[in-house]
Amino acid sequence: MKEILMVTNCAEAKHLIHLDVGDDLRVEEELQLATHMQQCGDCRSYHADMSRSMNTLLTLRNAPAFDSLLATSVWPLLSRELARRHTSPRVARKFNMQVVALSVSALSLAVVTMVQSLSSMRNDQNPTGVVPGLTVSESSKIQQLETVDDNAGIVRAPFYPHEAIGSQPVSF
Amino acid sequence: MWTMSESDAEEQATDPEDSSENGGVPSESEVRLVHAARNGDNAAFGELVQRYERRVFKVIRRFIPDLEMATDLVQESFLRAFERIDQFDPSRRFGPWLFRLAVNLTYDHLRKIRRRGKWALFTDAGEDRAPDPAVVDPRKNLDLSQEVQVVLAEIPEAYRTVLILRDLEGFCTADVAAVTDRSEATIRWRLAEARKMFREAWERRERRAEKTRLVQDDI
Repeated sequence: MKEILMVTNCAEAKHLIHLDVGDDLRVEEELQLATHMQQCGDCRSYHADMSRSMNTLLTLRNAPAFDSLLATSVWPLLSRELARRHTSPRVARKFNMQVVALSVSALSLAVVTMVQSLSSMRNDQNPTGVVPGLTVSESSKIQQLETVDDNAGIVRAPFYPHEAIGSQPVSF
Repeated sequence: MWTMSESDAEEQATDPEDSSENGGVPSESEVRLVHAARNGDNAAFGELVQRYERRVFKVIRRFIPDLEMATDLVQESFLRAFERIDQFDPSRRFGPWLFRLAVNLTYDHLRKIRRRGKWALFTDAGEDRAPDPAVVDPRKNLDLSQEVQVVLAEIPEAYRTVLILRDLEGFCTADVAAVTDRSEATIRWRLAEARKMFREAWERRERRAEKTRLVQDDI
């Protein structure tokens, strides 16, 4: 005979009780629960409560509201529907490339417009090219430094306005 | 205490309407009908419909009390079954597969209703008002089964489904597992939790009712 495992705690026993009230325990589980309940009054009363609650739930099982049968079979209607589907030609679905092309063009247009408006906004903010915080002569000096010919091996000065003023381009 | 036993389940299995619902393998007649239906035999499919429609209707009505809507969903379930019968594995029983389609359709329908309620610009609900003590609480007219139905609706969907299929519709645990596409161990766990949830919700309702009674007695 199989050795009966003891249910160690009430939590475990309660889980088994939830199943027991619906006759959902395996034989060995039933034995485990019975052994535990012999020694535990709390679990015995919990079992009684659960049984009552289960009986309440089961009043719904044969409640007349749910016992009403289907008035008529759905098959006559269903067979007509199936016949209709069978005879009506299937509309072939075709991928519409025009929609995709239109969407892509609209998107590209939007991007171009956005980029243009951004650059025009930048120009609007600084139409003279004067670096904010510097005088006109300081700004033109920076512009001169930036336009030194790269081919002559002269590295462009980095654009750090305050450091750049007065310094010479570095040559190697 | 509930007295449904294995013998009751066997009794249900001998019911001609549910002959294919219980037991491990599909019955010979069912295999034949499914095979014919897969080959486009509408009459065979019709026989399957007539075999299962009442049971499907009863299960759907557990979720959707409206008769007309439940009937529509029964039709929709069979239509879907017909459309997808090629995907059905004929070595398995037709019943659980069909019930899965029906339960999923019912879920979809319930979700649609919930979504509609959530995003609707106007709702039918009136403003919240304190109950008028002079007016009799309409809930008093609910009979026990209606009250149980209200409490059952408080349980989360996944647990309620298990409770409905197992305890109210008498499906065996293996069939509930097949219908819900979960393992049997998960179903046993959910069943235990669902029964516990129902007990707690029922007790909460009883406490509320008691409190209301006391307040009304005071008035």
